[in-house]
Amino acid sequence: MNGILSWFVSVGGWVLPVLFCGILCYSGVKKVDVMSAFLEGAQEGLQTALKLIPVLVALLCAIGMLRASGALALLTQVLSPLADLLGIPQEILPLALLRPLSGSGSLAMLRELLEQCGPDSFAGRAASVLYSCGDTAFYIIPVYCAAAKVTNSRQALPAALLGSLAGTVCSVLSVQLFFG
Amino acid sequence: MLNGIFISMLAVSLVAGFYYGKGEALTAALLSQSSQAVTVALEMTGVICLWSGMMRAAERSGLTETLGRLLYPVTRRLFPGLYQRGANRAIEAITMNLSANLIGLGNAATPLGLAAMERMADLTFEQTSPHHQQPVRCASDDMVVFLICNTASLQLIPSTLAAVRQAAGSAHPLEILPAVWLSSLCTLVVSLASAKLLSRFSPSFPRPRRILTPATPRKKI
Repeated sequence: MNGILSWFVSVGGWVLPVLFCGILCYSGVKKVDVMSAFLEGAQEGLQTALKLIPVLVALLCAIGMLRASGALALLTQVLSPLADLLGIPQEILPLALLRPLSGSGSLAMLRELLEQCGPDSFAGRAASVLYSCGDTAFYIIPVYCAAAKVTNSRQALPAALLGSLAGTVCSVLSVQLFFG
Repeated sequence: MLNGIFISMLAVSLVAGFYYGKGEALTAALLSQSSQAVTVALEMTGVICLWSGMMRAAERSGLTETLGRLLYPVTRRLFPGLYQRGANRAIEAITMNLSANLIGLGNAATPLGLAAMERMADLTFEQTSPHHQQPVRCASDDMVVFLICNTASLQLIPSTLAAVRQAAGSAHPLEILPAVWLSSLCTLVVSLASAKLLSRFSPSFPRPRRILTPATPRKKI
């Protein structure tokens, strides 16, 4: 198992450079003017990135305030009976609530949780699965929509949150299933 | 929708801040996060340029087309609207983004996703001139499906997770992989299904086509 892990980790380290050089060299072989194509695309990317700054300011402020205000602690208290009903351990409930909001925040929380409960405990395993079965909906949806100048994301966020609820329940169930 | 989410986040944090007496923490969060936002954006700028440049080269060499053909069985079902309109450029960006997510490139997939959204927007709102810009621009069905694919973040090898578990001293950092795949798939399927169900309650309005080709008034006979 450790051999497989180190193989995966070393492959992971190679993905980006191999892709970068591979794509550009392949394009060169195909007689594409690689340099000017790259610069053209990068120019477009620069405009996208600049448009993102105001969105990020608004979004990160809102998320930061939400986290600093203790609203998550309040929500955890309110939701804990429901979590009991669904069989979600108390330890991973705050992580489940933070996961759709903040990527770096939930990674820090996962680290802490693994240290407290142990990575191979039930809660530790469930938290690990929970962390990687969804991404930050509150960040991705507004940022992507802003890039497309979409003002109404319609049902995207509610649907993503329902999915993340299902993912939370499923991560507990699947850890029970695979590890008894 | 986005406006409502933003406002309710602010309102909730103010109320909870009052309840817990965390005025100073809120101030600190506002100040640090606003400067943090610029740092994040500037850090992302380099990666965005890198990927946009790579994508342009890949498009010129026909690589994205090949990839699109490989993923066609999946994307055809997820984004039927785009194929109906023959939106090749948007489809290519989507396939690039989805495969980057799948091989676990994470943040590097964001620029590709932004490009895909821009191209879908060009398609959905193509006929509107800047002078008659619609005040409300609704996400199309394909955009919603694409957003959900990104938030579910299906990935084969969760490398960050493996590193964190190894650092925490796990005996088998990757033994949870089957559980991760199962749960990610569950997240994706449930969100896609609920998006389908909820689309009834949040219709795409205004539909560009209806507005742009007004019915010709019938001549009275």
